[in-house]
Amino acid sequence: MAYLVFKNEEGLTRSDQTLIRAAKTDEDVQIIHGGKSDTVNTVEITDAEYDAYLKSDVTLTITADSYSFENNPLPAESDVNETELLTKESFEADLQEYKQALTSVFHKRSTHSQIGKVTSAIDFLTNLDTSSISYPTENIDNKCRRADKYVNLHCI
Amino acid sequence: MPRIIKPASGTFTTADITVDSSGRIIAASTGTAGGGNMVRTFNKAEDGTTTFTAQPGSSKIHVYLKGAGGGGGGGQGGQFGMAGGHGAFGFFNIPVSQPYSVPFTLGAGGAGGGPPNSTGQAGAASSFNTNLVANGGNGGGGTGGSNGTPGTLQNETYAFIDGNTFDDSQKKLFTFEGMAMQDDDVYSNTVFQNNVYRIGPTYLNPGDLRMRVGGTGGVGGNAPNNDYIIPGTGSNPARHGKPGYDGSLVIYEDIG
Repeated sequence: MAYLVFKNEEGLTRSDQTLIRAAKTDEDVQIIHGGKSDTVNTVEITDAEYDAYLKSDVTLTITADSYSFENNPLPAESDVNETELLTKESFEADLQEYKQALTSVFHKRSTHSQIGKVTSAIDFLTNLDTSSISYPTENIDNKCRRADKYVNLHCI
Repeated sequence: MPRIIKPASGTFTTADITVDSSGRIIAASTGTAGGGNMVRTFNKAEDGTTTFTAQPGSSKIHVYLKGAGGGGGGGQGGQFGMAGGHGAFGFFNIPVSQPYSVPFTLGAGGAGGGPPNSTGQAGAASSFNTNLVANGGNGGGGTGGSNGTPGTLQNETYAFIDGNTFDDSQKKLFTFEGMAMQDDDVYSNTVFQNNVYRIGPTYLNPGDLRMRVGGTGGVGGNAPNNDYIIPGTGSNPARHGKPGYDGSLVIYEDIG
């Protein structure tokens, strides 16, 4: 059983702005609240929903205290809207920023249940040869998803 | 009857003395020290759970605690996403009995919302001992949404940020000594317009970016500046919101 973990403040309802992150295990929830469990409240989701959200195969919508997941299909590379394409400089900047975020998670949450996927994503980004890509190109999220290496930071 | 006065020999610290009507010291002994000056003994601005142990001579601690900032929302169509809310920030005056060792947790900053237009995550709460809490800020909405609401406090002595409106929390944003650290290359070298000049909705001078403040809400995602837009394509890709900063803690003790 996985969880959506929300802030727990008096008078606060669950919404997309009060969601802290998704967690796969009870130990992952513990990482979020650090032992003070009354600072969060949780909603159970299925492991399959968590796994799909981690890979960004679905998007999460939270309205009026309820949630839903909707499919988020990856478009073919040739179908990506040209207004969303990136130059080499922009792409490399995004790549470094995403890699830095994953590396920070790796160092700070080494006991997280999904840390192996984080390591795998960092390796993919480290070894990605940006000089071999034709520009303009799609964003780094899509590149990672195509290689099954994407890790949604909202789940770690 | 003449009074015999014995010499009071020896060394006394923080002495208690008795003086007679002629101004002579007729008794002396070592006394008890008064409260010392407050000295900063601890600071941390990275998420995680660990233990704080007071200095052996400490009888009182002053705790400045901040929850984590919410992540900024994703941008869309060349427009900024909205800023994440700041973590709650309060001061706590705590008398301590030795030995004093308590757990504390600093919350993790919320991740930014993805493009296009997704909401950033909320920041997690920071807590000290069992009852002192600084909740994190809400995530910022996507373009056209709302800034994240700042977090609230529990059991504070004085509140700097306690569920204020986002604008109000900007005015009271307090860069206390030890609450800030040198910015890193990721943020100072970012190639995208405005990021380096902006915390929340306020545009700052480049030099201001030398500091980053624990618990600050993340900046909304934006679009690349004109130098990075592909000519003739109408390219205007949206960007991720920036993450909020982790919660932070500064402690002073009366050992000075």
